[in-house]
Amino acid sequence: MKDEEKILKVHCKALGIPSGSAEVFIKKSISAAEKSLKNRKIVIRADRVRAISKELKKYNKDLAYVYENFDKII
Amino acid sequence: MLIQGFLQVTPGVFAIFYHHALGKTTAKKADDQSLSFILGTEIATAVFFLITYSIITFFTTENNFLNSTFLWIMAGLFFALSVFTFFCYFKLGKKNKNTTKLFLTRHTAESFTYHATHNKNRTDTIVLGFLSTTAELVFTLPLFIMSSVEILNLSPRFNFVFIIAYIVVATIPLFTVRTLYRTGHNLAEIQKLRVKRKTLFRIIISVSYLLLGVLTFISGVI
Repeated sequence: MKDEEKILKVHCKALGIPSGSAEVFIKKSISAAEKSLKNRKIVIRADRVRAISKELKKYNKDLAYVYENFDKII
Repeated sequence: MLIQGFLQVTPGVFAIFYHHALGKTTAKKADDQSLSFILGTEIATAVFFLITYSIITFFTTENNFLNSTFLWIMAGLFFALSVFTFFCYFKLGKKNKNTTKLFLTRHTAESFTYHATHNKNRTDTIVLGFLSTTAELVFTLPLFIMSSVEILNLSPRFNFVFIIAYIVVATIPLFTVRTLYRTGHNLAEIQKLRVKRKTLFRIIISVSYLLLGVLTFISGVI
């Protein structure tokens, strides 16, 4: 999850989200996503991305959209 | 020229690149780096166009290359590209409905995304621009060939102007994306716009190839 945090921080800066609040809601979203995936036996990257972006939607829709669709642009 | 302005690999890579540059550096530096990417694209367009032009000029003066067989082949190529762009340029299917995934293989697309987010200096950026233009060569090479043929019919005075105009038109989508970023839009908005217009882009490219094919076919027969 360390990598995801790093990637999300870059996205936040690019989207113009203040770094202080970004750091808070990134951590909250990642831990909430981890909790929701806890009971699953097999977790692939796509599941993690979906879970995190679902949590991110509560704080910033653009960030959630960019994070979920970043590898679907080309 | 019009078709080249609607192709999507280079603008897609450029949008990812600019977004990531904004996330890593200041807005001014990202803007500077974006010019290097555009320069790479312009160099690639100029190199491929001029190589095609010199080959066409050589064959035309040596062997009277522009006969009807050549035009028939070109018409067939344009028809094939018209069908290909309609069905395969944007990946179809329910899974890809809200994406702008293109004809590229998964590894190529991943590689472009990786290089757009991991480039370290100006040279990397120029090369990225060059390579993303090269990835679309299947679609642009026939256009370069036909444009070279058209140039041969023009007065030599206009050749240079035509080539410059071609390069400028090829980079209009990149300048559009750059302007959108500079006016406060972000990747989410740009991507949503691309998703919304992808059917329109697909139809424009496909119909343009079809029209080119018909025109070439008519000039080949008559």
